[in-house]
Amino acid sequence: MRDILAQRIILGDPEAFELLFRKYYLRLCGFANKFLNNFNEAEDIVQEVFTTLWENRELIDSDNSLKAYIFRITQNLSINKLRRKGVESRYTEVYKLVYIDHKESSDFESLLGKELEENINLAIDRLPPGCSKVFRMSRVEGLKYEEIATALNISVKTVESQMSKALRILRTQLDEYGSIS
Amino acid sequence: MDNQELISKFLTGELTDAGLEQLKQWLEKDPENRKIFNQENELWHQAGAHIRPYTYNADQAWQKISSKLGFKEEERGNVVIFNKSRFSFMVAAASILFLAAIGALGYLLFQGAGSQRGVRDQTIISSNVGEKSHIFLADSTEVFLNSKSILSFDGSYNKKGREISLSGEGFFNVRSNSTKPFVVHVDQLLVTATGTRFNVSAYADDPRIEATLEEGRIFVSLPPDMKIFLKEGEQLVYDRKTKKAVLHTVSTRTYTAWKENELRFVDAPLEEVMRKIGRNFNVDVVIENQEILNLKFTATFTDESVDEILQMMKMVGPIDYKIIRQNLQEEGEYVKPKILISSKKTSVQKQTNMKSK
Repeated sequence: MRDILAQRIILGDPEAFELLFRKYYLRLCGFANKFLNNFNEAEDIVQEVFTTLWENRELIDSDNSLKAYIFRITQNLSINKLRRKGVESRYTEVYKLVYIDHKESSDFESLLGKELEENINLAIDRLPPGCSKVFRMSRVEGLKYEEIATALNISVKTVESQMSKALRILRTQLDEYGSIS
Repeated sequence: MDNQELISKFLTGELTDAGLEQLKQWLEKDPENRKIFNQENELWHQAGAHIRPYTYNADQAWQKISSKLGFKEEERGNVVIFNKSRFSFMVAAASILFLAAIGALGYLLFQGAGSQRGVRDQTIISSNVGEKSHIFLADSTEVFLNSKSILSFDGSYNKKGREISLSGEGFFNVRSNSTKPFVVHVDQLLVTATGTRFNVSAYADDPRIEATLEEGRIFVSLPPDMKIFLKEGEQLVYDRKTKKAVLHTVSTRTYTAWKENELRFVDAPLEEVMRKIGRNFNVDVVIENQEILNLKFTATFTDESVDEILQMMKMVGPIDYKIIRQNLQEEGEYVKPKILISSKKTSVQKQTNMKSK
């Protein structure tokens, strides 16, 4: 079934292309953003991925996974962008260390078969109640630890430990999901 | 500070300079550490993409891309028809909030023109055969729409109350709001919820209407004047012909698996299995022998193609099949593939073209 989509795109079917776009746009933005930590830059990169993909659609190999292909293009463009970045924030150093100095860290193949990110809401709901609440307040509402602590009437230390716990549990779940199919 | 805490503080922007140095040293030390960092970083940003509304706007992005590439924009009136193929099962919250916005805009424009309100401020969301949709309504209620299903509501949705109509099958994850109950109209039935997760199946070609409650509370109103409250894990089955309702306990997973793109059957008769396969893959199925209609199958299919499913069923059951495919290249209308199912005793011509192109 997947191959049909690739074939239709190679033949120049905009509808098939839109389907691919709608399916992967968010995931690719999230993926690009792990290198860039900047929502706008991530969106720009992913839009570039799709325009490049369409303009070079004859290069698509319908025998290979189209999904892996678009993730790879996204990764290459994101890492190029990261490389060109100055040390505008202390955070960029860490991303450069992990994804440029140690290329192997950015291996993403293992992630492709995993559905956790698609069910991320469910996964977060399944966290222990305190964890899930703290995680959502931090990630969805963008609140600082101190603000969360005040809102929930708990200590900042507790917020810290709940956040660490949430990430650790989610990572373990990610590991448990099946490998690439 | 332990390493786990270093990562989470880094991601949330709470890390001090000293902590940053400590994190860098830890990352330099061991590839395993970088792997952990990479996974949590990935999760953090995927969570940002998937659970934060308005983080990314897929519709805006699509408009940019399609105008850049010179695609023709579809005409969009106040009636929005939003088709999603099974390939694009997952659609973003952002894009659907946009969809809801179009609905609202159509409504406002229409009101502005001083015309009377009518069917034109209806928003219609449909999934064709072989397609599924995933949508978020204006109040963040999440809906999975199975293939061959239609969901509709008008401009007053989430203003006065929350009423929608469904034909086909949908799974609802209702945003809690006790002042505005969420009501699904199916045929003569009403399913009412406040905040909960439930599935409703009401296909026109199926005499049964099923309401299955996964979590929370719902009640089903039956004509003329009866309310049945469901508990978690219960299913109400209403027979349109006999107008009788039966309540029983089920494993809800069986009835909601379709939204994970799973076809799940537990002791299901062949007839039902084939009806679902036909809907899911956009194929016509003909069962040629009466005696196999009630054969029972238990199976879960996820990524399998129609050919693979049929092959497996043939292996485990006394059935045979033949697929008749039309040539896609031919001029004119696309004709659905047809599947003939027969009992193994009756000889079916050897299927000629087993490989899907």
